[in-house]
Amino acid sequence: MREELFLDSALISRNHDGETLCGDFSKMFGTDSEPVFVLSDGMGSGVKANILATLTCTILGRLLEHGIPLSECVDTIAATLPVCRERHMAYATFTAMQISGDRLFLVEYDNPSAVLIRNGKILKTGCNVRFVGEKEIHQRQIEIMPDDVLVLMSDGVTHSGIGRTNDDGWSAAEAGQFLADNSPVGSSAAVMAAVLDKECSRLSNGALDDDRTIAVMRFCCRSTVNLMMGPPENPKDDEKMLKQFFAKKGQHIVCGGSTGSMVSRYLCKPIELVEGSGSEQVPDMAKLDGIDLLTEGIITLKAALDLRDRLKNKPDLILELGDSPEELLYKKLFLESTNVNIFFGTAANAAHKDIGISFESKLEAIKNLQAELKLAGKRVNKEYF
Amino acid sequence: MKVQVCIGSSCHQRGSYKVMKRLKELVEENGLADKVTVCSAFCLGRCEDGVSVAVDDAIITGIGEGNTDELFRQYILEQL
Repeated sequence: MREELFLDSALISRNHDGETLCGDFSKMFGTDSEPVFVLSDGMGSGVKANILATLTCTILGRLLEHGIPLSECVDTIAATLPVCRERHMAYATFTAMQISGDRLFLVEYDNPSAVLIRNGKILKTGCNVRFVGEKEIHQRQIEIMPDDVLVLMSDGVTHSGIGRTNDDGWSAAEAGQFLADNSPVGSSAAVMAAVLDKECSRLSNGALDDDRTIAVMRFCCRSTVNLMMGPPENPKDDEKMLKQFFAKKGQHIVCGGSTGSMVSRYLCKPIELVEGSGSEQVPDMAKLDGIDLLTEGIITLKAALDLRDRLKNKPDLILELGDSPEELLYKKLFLESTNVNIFFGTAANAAHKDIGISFESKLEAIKNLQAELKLAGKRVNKEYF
Repeated sequence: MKVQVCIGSSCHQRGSYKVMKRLKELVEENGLADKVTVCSAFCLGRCEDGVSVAVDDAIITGIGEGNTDELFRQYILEQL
């Protein structure tokens, strides 16, 4: 993948009602520059489906990741997938995406066709059909453009609401068009996945008659967010830290009361509180000319990380995010950035000892943030002062 | 008169949210809304002695839920 592009991905996978395991399995393989993503839907639901989907996805992902030519991977997987004696069908379907340079390769077997959204419209792409044994494999090659969005799905999406609110469900193209019409260009992958998931829930009156998986892959241009937290251990280093911080391109976030005051003195600009923006849990944020977001430090950061945890279990919460300090901090760090530079000042605030905030817990929160950002595929650079 | 309640991490943890809420109530109850503005301050720099409250240029520290009414009487009501 081109250096200036970033793959913003989001995955929502829901189990068939009453099942503890999902019969769909999907995973990212490969590297940042040559990612591979595979979604597999095991026939049926529950344990058997889960094992088949996991096997299919993992075998295919690993082969592609190790540079085995696509055709060989397909041959291997198609020949390996067992065909049910009674039904004469393969046990698990798959959609594999591989990126190399500017090109996106798609290999699809029996899943709803992946949809590519470009400039708010569905891109029509030609597809090569080939048979491997009895299996009909569809292959496509697409040149990636910035802001392209690829939507992969299991049939739990296209079958939403059958026998409940409609007779036939909707096609992958209709689902894609719905997403294009209901998410502004530039929406993050997490938001887009949640928008489509919500509509599927609406169509099926909240029921899950099948496992449902939605994977959104957005190819966006890189954007940097710089985060400063805590003044340096030695006040002599204040200027060095500030100069390096402001020399960086991108958005600038400052977290911390004394850090904010230091930045305000450096910029010779006053701090203006945004009254009522906070809550009993999280202090108000403030405005400072030249800074994109100014919040209190450790409490707000921890609240943003808590939000991150809650979103993992409840991805649809993302559609309800507002403008509180911790929500804005979350959005800037996790939804708007692809590269994050952390400037961490290690001055110990003596007052924090009395209120149960140890320096170690602050350090732990920063490390936790770094780990979460990396998990989201972002490039993170951290410096201590 | 301008009353600013510090909302830095330390003061926040020590209850500045409740202090500010109570001060606003007291200003309202005493009909002083046109004379006294209560707002928050980002960090008054007295983290170890919080909750800190600035009444115009004077910084009063060691405020908590328990002595907010006292602060109001001594530093706001009697200074007007």
